[in-house]
Amino acid sequence: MPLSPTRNARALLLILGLLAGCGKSSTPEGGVGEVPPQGEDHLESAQASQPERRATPAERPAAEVAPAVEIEPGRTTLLPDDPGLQLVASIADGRGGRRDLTGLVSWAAEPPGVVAIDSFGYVSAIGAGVATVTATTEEGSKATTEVAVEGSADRPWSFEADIVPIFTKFGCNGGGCHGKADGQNGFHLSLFGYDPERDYRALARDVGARRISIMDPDDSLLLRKATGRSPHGGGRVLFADSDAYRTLRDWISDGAPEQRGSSHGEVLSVEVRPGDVRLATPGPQHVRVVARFEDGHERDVTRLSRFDVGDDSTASIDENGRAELLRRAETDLIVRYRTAVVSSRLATLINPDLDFDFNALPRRNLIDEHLFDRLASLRVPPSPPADDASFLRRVTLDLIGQQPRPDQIRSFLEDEDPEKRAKLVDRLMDHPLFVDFWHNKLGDLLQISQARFGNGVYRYNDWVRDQLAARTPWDEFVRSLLTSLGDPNDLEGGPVNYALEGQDARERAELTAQRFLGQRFRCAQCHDHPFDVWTQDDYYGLAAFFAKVRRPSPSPGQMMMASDSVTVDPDGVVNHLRTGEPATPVLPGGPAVDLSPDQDPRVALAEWMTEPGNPFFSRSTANWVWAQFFGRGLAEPADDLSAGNPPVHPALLDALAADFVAHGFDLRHLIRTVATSEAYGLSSTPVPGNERDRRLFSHQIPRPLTAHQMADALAQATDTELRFSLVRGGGQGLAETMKAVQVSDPAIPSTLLDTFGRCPRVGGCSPVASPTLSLRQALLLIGGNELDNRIGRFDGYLSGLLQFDPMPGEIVENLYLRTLCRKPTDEETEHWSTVLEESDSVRDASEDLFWALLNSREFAFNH
Amino acid sequence: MRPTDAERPCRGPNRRALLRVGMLGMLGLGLDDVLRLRSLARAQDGYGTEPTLDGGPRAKSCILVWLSGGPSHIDTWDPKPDAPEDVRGEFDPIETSIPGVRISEILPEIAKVLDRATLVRSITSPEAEHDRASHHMLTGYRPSPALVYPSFGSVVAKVRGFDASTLPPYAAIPTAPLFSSSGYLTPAFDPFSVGGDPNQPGFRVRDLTPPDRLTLDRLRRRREMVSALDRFASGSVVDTPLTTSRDSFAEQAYDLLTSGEAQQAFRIEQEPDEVRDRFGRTQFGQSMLLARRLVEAGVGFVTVNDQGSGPVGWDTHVDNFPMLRDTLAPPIDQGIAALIADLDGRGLLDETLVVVMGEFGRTPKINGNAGRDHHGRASSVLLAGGGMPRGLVLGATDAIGDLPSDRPVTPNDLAASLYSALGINPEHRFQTPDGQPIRLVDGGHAVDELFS
Repeated sequence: MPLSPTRNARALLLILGLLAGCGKSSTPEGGVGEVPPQGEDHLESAQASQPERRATPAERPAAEVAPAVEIEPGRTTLLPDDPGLQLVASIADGRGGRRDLTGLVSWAAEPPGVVAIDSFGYVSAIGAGVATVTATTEEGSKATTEVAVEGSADRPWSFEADIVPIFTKFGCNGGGCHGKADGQNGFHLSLFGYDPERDYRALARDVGARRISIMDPDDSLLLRKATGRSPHGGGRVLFADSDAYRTLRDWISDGAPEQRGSSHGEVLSVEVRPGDVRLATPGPQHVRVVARFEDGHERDVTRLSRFDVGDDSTASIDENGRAELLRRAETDLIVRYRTAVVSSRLATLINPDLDFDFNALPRRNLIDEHLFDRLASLRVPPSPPADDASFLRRVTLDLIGQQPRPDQIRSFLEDEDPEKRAKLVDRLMDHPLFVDFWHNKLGDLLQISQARFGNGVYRYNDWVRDQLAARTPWDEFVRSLLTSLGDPNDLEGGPVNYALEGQDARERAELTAQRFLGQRFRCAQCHDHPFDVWTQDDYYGLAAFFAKVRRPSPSPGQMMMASDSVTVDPDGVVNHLRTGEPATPVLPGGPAVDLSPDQDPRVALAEWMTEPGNPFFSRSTANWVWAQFFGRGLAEPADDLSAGNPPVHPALLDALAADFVAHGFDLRHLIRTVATSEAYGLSSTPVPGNERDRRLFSHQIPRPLTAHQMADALAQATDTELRFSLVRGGGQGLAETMKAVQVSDPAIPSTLLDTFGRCPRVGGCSPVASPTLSLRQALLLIGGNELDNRIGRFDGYLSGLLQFDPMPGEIVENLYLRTLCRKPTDEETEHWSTVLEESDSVRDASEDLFWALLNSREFAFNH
Repeated sequence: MRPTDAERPCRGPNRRALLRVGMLGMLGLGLDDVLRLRSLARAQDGYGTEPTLDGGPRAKSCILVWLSGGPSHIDTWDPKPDAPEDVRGEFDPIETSIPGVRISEILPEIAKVLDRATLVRSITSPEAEHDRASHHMLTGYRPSPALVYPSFGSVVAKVRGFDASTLPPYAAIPTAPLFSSSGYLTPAFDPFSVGGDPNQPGFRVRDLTPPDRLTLDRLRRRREMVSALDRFASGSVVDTPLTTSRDSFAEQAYDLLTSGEAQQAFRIEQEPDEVRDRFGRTQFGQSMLLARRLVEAGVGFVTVNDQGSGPVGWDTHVDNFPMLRDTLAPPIDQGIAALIADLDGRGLLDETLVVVMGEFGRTPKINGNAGRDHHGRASSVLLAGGGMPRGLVLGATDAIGDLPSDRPVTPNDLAASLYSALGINPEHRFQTPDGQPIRLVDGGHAVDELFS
């Protein structure tokens, strides 16, 4: 779909933001045992800097073997409208990495009067000329670079490029302050400055009067408030001797023009330099932020950017871009400049001395290629594959929600086929309960409940289940949901129910974006969201796609509708909160869509979403599926793929998504790819070197059984039934014997499922059904009758077993197989056999052991 | 580097940090890291504020009586004897122990102890639908499609923690009303629903008393077996914050099941008959008594959910007057009066805050079915103990009880007041799972008159 010129740049920025940080990490690093080359990683900017880099300190000729300090960037020209320049000094550390010295060297500039440089290496222009900047280490090692300053007699001004970034940097246009929908104290700025024209009007309206005083710039309300000289709810945000203050004052005294002189045009890209830093050891790293404009100009905007780190137990970063890695780890640096958000990586080798042959790892598919390359590049060993019994239990729970039966365990353990794991995955995916279990997951994703859909819940559930069983491609599935019209209670009306969700067009847009695109637009509506890119205009542009949905009247007695169907209302609109005018449909980051009045705009949205090239759709689905098998997404939370939340393995996510697209959006293919990967099959027991890892997927992490898994596992282990009354609302009706995974509708009562935290599907659930552990659960298992009754029942498993007068060892083995799905070790067999033999009553002792197994940690977790 | 104080008000939330707080469970951190993160999270959580106010809490605990359905203020706390007949209703006002203050004749017992309480007659809210109004009254926030806010009890549980006793920090009798949940906090702070009817003979809390055939000895034996199993599995299901927190819930459960003290708290039959009679041999009366026992045993917050005799509770759209007089009022009149007097007699009233409220008031004009409909614009709330002034009537409504005429108090103000009395800073911010810092109360201010 063609992009309009103005939107083009935004879309590009967005995509850059999404892709940032994936370049280097995706390529295999050097041989095992060698430190990978990182020099070019670290210093990748202008070639012009080469001569300066080699500058050898004159007074220390003896130090020629010692590594030399280098300065980035090389010779640079500061235009009159450039805010300044961050220099970064570093030194090779002798082990292939580099050490940042920016805050440690002493900086000096000659001749005087051209530039000033502070102790953090930040250069400000003073007058025209060329200055030589020198960095001197404590040891006396030196490096130089040149900064040319162009004359500033008549500097150009651009409100958008020079002033708005200051508001963004200092948070003035954030959602907590003047950027919120109705502004703050009568002064409203667009969120993060996405609408400079309007911001200019907001300021300029008061030119000469209050906010801006051209006659006496320092007396402008804008500056008095910002410096705290007048009462300001936000307190003091600027110091009068700061660069930002000077820029604002100069702009005001120059008449506060919206545009004067030539413009550099739109910002085309924002980059963090050095990108993807690999430090030799934990320590500081100063980064620079460079914006490239339409006219080719590159401007250092470090001090106009805002910084954050992905994990502040791992790293910190200050407002000037000085990051510090606190321990051997990898983290993301998140940078906002104006409305753009980009991320970059900061890392060290995690186990520099690790001796591990990554090349010898079996790589079953693209997941393993990417994952093991990443682990190799960071020197984090993966755990070995889980043993057969653990894998069998894990994959059976994850694919069909059940524990494997003892006979299945025995035969799987005996099977010597090297392909038995992959074959098991195929068998399980052909199991009827596979559809039930994944229907449940989709039901959570779509929040299918009576509370939200009334009686439509029946049709909706049936339809989703049918699509899964029929292997409908995911793009087709989503297109049907988004575009179906008709009667939601009709036989064919299942997907129509999607339109019944949410109070209005805005909520439907939010839900759609979060569910299928991993994008959170809600924050753009009103809240502060400093590291996301969506604006209020985007929000209403998206909402407008849903504005023409006419829904049946929710309750009788209100105005009667012509039909009970969802139809297209040619006059349906959603009004933009700010303008009060009807919003027009605009694709996220893309163009406005021209549609005739009687067209359903959702069709155009669905087309765009499900295009193979859509940057969000396939990645979001791939991430969701991944999360089902690991308990968390490659990006986590799994429904947040925003630019400020980069995935831990970007190239892996991209590859998985591309493979999903290449296979025609076949959900089963995607599921199978994950389930058959070596990565999924890794043990949850750490090995030396990955004990602390909870981020990189170097081993599995035990996950509590979900409500449905737990209920079925309890029933199956004890050979008892689960009975559910299918008449909603507690009416009369016979209870039916079913598997818990077949109970998708949360309105079907079940204390067991409620206690173990099934999603009630009324107000959103986490993307992965991860039950919250609670006292209630513990009480139910420990104090309740539920377990004891099932164990003690005369027609239950244990009674049957004891009839055969088994040996203690046989009892132990059978109980282990039914609960923990493995054979007991010799030690365990011996221990429990002794316990049984020494007991007064084998039956009581067997009951106790059975009970204890069902209350054990190993049973409670999928590990 | 942490943001400076000066820029803090304008700085956005550190969303990633928040996620981490919620995800300690997923991080492989040493204890030091966790403690450091926690203190960091605390600082970020609050944007510099502390969750607790200086000095000890005025009220150590709180019993919230929820009159589900929305009681008619005019027929209970705020009679309008001089209003026209179609507003006035069937009940006469009676004198109370506060000279010159009259309430409805259907609350004669409460009238006798009113001088130990504060009556707020000027609560006002735009919400007049059950669910929305419940949310507003129980959380201090008008409902939002984006977020469910945590209820008072959940916040108390989060701030006070689980250390006070073996009992859960937040309980509901018999079950929690809608929107008295943990909202965006973690479900660990949901109320523990006691369930059942404490007025029934042989009342037991579900799952809290081991099955009869399971002796404590046997439970202990089983617990030891579980420990042995977990030791065997320690290499295969390793310690993570999730696996260990499951263990700690199990520990809590064993403690509850085996602690005589905790079990005693629920043994309402141990109260002398005379005391049980005083509270009234009704579900509500005995629920109040149970609430008092729980509070005494260290539970920080107890919600007693009164649904009258059926699903509509206090929602008297039809036959308002006989419903109130014959069914709804008598149990609460006796039970609340007995609770206040009982606490006072034990010297516990000053440290126990009692709050009586519902979703909203009811329309001044009596409808065609001799009922009254939803009315958010005016309602009354009774506060007793926890340092609330004795014998204060705050605010007033106009001649027909339609709108506050004096000292309007919003549910947000009420929430700020309750938190303040409980020693919790209403300005404190918790972060939602997706990283927004949210003030505990939406813009309300603690009512000065309650703190003088």
